[in-house]
Amino acid sequence: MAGALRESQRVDHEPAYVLHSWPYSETSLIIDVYTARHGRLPLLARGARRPRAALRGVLEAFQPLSIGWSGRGEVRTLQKAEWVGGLPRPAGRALWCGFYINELMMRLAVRDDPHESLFGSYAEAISQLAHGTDPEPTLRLFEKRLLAALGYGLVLDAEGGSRRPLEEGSLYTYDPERGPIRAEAGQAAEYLVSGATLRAIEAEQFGDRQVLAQAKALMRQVIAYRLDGRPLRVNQVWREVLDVV
Amino acid sequence: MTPPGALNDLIEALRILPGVGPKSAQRMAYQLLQHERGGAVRLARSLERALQAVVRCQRCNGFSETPICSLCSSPQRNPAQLCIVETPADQVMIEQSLAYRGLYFVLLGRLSPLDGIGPSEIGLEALLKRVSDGVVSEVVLANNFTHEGEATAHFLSETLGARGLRITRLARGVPVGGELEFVDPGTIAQAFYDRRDLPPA
Repeated sequence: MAGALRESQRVDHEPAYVLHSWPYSETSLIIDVYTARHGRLPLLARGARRPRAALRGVLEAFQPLSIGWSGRGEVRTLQKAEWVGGLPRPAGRALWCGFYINELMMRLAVRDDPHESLFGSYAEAISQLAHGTDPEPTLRLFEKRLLAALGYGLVLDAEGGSRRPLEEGSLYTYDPERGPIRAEAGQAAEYLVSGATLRAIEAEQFGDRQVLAQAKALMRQVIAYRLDGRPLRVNQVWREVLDVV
Repeated sequence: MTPPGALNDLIEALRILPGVGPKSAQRMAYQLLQHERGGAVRLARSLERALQAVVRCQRCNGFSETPICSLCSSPQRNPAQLCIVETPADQVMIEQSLAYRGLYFVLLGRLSPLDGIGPSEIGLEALLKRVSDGVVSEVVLANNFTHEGEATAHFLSETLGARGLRITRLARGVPVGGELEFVDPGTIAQAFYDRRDLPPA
């Protein structure tokens, strides 16, 4: 990878989403983008913060773009960004869910490591948030597909280790490294997930309320494990917000 | 050659200004000491004076030379309306528009979930105290139309709306006098999503 980075690169018409951006020098931006064929990478957008810059209003998160860049090294230079459009801006709670998804991408997707299926899952999740559908099933589906794309896929077809088939009515704990483990009688309830829920997650069926609730607890635990216990900033701020509201 | 200590301190001090790197800071320092010594004295004195005289207004959080700024104490302003802005510069722009006769509250920036900036960092407590004076009935959210500004506006509308206040948000769309040909597609797209019915003739 380091060798590939040293070579000068020129990419054009690449489907992309801006995940986050930071001011850089007086008039520029550093943007963190997720692209279809090149994965996640930082780009320097020169002059993007000038009052009349053409890129203003284009380099927005949650909007499908077509971009081009060139250069070598870690931070390459954005040459072009075109509006692909078709999405309203997510509003209210959906906007917060969008921030959550973007932070997951920034924290878990390694730079310059493309996964085209993940790009598709991301685009689908953002589109659903933008159109105002119930965010919970959207988030669970995205989390499941994100983990799978990054090689952390959940074991959902059998017990971890023993590979015994899951029983719909039985309860399981989930070991992030091994998979579902049949729960002992009297184990703490908040960590338990039913065989039926595990199967529903595998089938990507999030219509049932109990499935949604158990899947949320499961994903939270697995994602916390993948983040090495360092909490997501969006979740911390969201909890602070809930305390006030 | 390393410049003498005092000169070096000046160069370092100038670097706190936005967009000023080591090279520009050096150019500024040489300019001040070589060609603009009178101006440099004025700069030093006005900086010192401003630091002593300018405080945050106790009511709007904006800059003021008195504990309560002239705008907040003006009888010409409508105390029932409170406009929330992200920065003093935003307030200046709204004042220039002459479209608003109410009062202001300047937030300390905006929520930025991805940077870990939450309600406690934007001066929320002072705002809550300010809107519970029994006089404010409408809060105008003039947060920027960035995703962070929108998230802040949403949060404020939930928090302040629960206190029985009327909450309004600036409209967004194509700029006045703007020809569509020269407007960026993001703005036009949003103007389409936010289009409104015209009243029947």
